[in-house]
Amino acid sequence: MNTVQGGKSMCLIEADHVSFSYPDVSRTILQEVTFSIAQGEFIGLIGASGSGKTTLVKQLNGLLRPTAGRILLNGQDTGRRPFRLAELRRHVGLVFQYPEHQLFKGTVLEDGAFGPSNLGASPEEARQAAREALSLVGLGPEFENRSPLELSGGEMRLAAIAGVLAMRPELLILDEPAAGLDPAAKERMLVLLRNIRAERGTSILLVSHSMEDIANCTDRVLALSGGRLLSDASPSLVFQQVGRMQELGTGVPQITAAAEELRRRGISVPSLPITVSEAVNCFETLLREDCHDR
Amino acid sequence: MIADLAIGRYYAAESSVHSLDPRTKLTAALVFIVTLFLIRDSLTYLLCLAALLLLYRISHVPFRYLMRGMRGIVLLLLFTLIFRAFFSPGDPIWSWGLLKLTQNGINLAIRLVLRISLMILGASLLSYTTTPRQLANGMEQALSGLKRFHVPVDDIALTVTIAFRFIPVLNEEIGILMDAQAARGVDFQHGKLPEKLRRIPSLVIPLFVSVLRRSADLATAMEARGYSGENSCTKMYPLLYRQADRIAYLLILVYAPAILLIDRGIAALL
Repeated sequence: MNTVQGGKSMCLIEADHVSFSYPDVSRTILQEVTFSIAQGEFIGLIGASGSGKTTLVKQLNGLLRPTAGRILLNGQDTGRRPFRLAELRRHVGLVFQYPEHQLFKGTVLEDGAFGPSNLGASPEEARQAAREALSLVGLGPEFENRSPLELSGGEMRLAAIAGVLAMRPELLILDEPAAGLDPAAKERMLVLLRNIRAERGTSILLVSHSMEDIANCTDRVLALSGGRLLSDASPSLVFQQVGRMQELGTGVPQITAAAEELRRRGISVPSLPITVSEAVNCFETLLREDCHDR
Repeated sequence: MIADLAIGRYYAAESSVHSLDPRTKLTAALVFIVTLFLIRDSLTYLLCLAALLLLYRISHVPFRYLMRGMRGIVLLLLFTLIFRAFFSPGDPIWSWGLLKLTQNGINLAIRLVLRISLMILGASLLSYTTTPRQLANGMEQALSGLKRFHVPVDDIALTVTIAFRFIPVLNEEIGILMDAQAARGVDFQHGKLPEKLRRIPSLVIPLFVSVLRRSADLATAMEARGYSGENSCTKMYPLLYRQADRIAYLLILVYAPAILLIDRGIAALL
């Protein structure tokens, strides 16, 4: 059913000049947004509040339909019959902010099986899919029969993510999955996302206000402002434009801002580092050169 | 769908009705409804309707809002009409099995339908022209006499105000939950009744959990700001009667006896 496996660059999902506005409201929320996501990519979506991130994400899994433009899944137009929206939801999993608020079944396992059984899986298949997803997020068999409401906040969030993973999406979209978690849990969340991609080859779209997380995890960054796609490039490229990103309201990683400040004070930083390890390498080179000159 | 909820549908406009004290409007609505119950002849209801339409006109609430209020009770009215017309005692004009259409029944049916419609229209005008907060304020003031009998009027008013305040919040929350469950493959748009019923827990259970969490948070936040429930809160905008309110009370005072006198007059004539 899938199109020919054309190597790494095969497009999983494409947004083709997608525009969106609510009826009766003159303001357009998305304007001619075009990009594509290939299999196995880890993409960051950034933008100030109200820039259209959530609306864009809802387009990708069919909760909202574009008012103009198309969303293509494996090259098929999702807006045209006989394409069914359920098909899009099966391929694109969406984890909303504070996903733990959607848990409702009696046990963690049953809640995980809710998604697959909505897609038509038999109860046994659904439970099996839920079990696999739970172990992927690190919730062992001892969690299966507990009520989701008696878990800790971090565990609840993992259980909710497992509920979406159990549907075996090819693209997993997460809206601020680390919001409100402590630093250690936040770190574990990012490791988990990398694991999901490594084990299942799932493409991941991470919506986040933490430029550090974006810099640490993603291969590509989409930057939205006022409903327009302003950048679509690697994070190291996007975060070079410190002034522009600050205007956008997203800023850059703190370490990048620090390097930019050094550059402004006359120290020649060749290329701005975006992660701590890059910064260590960059500063080490600079310091050694400095010693050498003396 | 949820936006058509019957409570808290305030229509913002500048009018002399909007600016009246909520107590005045509450009294007017109460008197209007009580007179509806005392009226004997259906023709008098036309007079009440005329008075009500005049008020709608003065308050700048568009007439389509009038119909919107009626839409929810069409079934109730239809049921009342049929039940009253066919199951009332009296001489049958037409009958079929258990069904007996009587003159008495027809009169009763028309009267009841008119009475219910007018009640709804009157109460709607009150909610169109008064914000829930004003309404709660007005009720609190009007009931403050009951404090002497140890009725916790302040607490009740606060509870009502908070309940109103949370309607849009919960409305938004339902939207978020519907999206979240739709993303997990629930199809809220299609399906027959049993399937629709099976989807309800996926919304209601998380909503309950969230309501409990929110109320606990709110209680803590209120306590942190010194609310103890013992001393009554002062008002940012204390209610004040103005000249317009005095005129309104005068009109109410004239309206009720006038309508009832006319009603008795019509009843005597026919």
